Amino acid sequence: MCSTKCFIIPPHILEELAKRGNSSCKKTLNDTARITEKRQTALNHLLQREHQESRGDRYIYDCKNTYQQRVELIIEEGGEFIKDETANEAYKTSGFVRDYFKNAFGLNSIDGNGLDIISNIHYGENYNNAYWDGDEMTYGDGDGKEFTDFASAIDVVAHELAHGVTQFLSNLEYQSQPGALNEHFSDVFGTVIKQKYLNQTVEEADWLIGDSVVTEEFPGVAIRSMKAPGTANEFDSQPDHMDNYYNGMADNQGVHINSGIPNKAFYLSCMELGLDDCALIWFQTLKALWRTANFNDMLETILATAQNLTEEGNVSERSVEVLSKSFSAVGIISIVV
Amino acid sequence: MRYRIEISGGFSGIPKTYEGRANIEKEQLEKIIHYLEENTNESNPDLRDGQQYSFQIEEGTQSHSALFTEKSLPTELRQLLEQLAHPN
Repeated sequence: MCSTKCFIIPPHILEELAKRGNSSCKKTLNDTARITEKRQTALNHLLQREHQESRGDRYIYDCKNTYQQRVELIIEEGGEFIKDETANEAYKTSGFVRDYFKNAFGLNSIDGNGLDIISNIHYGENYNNAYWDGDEMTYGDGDGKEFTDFASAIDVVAHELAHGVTQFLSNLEYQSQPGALNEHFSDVFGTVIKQKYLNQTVEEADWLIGDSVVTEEFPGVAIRSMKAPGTANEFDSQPDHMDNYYNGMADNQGVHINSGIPNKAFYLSCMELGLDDCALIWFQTLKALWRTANFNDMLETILATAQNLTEEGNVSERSVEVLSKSFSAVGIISIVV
Repeated sequence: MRYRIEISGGFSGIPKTYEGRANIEKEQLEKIIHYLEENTNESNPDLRDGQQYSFQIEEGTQSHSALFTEKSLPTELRQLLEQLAHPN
């Protein structure tokens, strides 16, 4: 049992114990990193935080095309819709994501403790991005030329909120393979929630991420494809196999690039096991992972998670076999010691 | 003034580069150089899908460059980027 003594244990020992399934050491490892990170921005966050009650309430702020967050509160939980359709969509989609995590996994908002869900819309001018900053989401309107209205896209909203969920469950660091896994989990829940929102089957779904935020002028159909990584647009360099793994330094060592490899494994698994079984397996795996987990750790953890869920009768008996096959198909193979 | 501005990262992960020449008033140029030299490179370790902004400016024999995060990029440089990326 790992108690407060864990704080004097070196991180590499904590990591090894976490890999062997010691959940309290994993929690200590993740909490220690999070506390260290939080110290750096604590004052800023304290100054920004206005809502002390935590019920997973939604707050939509209009940035009024400035580069400031929380310029004007325009919708809050239970409030009426307004003329601004982007605001209404951001309210609806963030609620759908919150309710999905609650209903599917019993997770009470992003952090499991009812963290309020704060969305900033109309951020900047021609701002082609959406991000999670550790506390809240921020969405640009796009330049209207290649990108448009990030806040109205269910998969974008789910992707960003899932970054929050990851932060509180496993706190995967944002570089190299742990970072690619961080992006992977956001794409996983982005596509799962999109399919639920659109009431699609896995066969009907397009498995695209960000298809509704690109315009007709954009040279492609979406930002990413989980079914066929590397094919969503002219700039899409995502690999779908470890043979084409990106080893460069750009993009925090390829967090948006190498995520294509586990993304493809997720797609292959879903086509065999269905969306709900895979979503449960991936969610429980996210809870079991730790800050520095790499692709091989992911495989070991997901197989152990699937085995447990199978024994409990919660997922298909074929889960372990299908997952092994899917990860093997993208070149992530168990290392036998 | 010659400029080269690279945007990387972000939700899309698609890099974007703007480069060329621009006629900037002396007062604005001095402010730009000030921001490039005074860059604190403040970052937020919890930021996910944030963009990085690389600025390179050349004026005469002088060159200045700096890398900014979503958090550290000053509003004035965002406005310059907007002005150069969307001139109309």
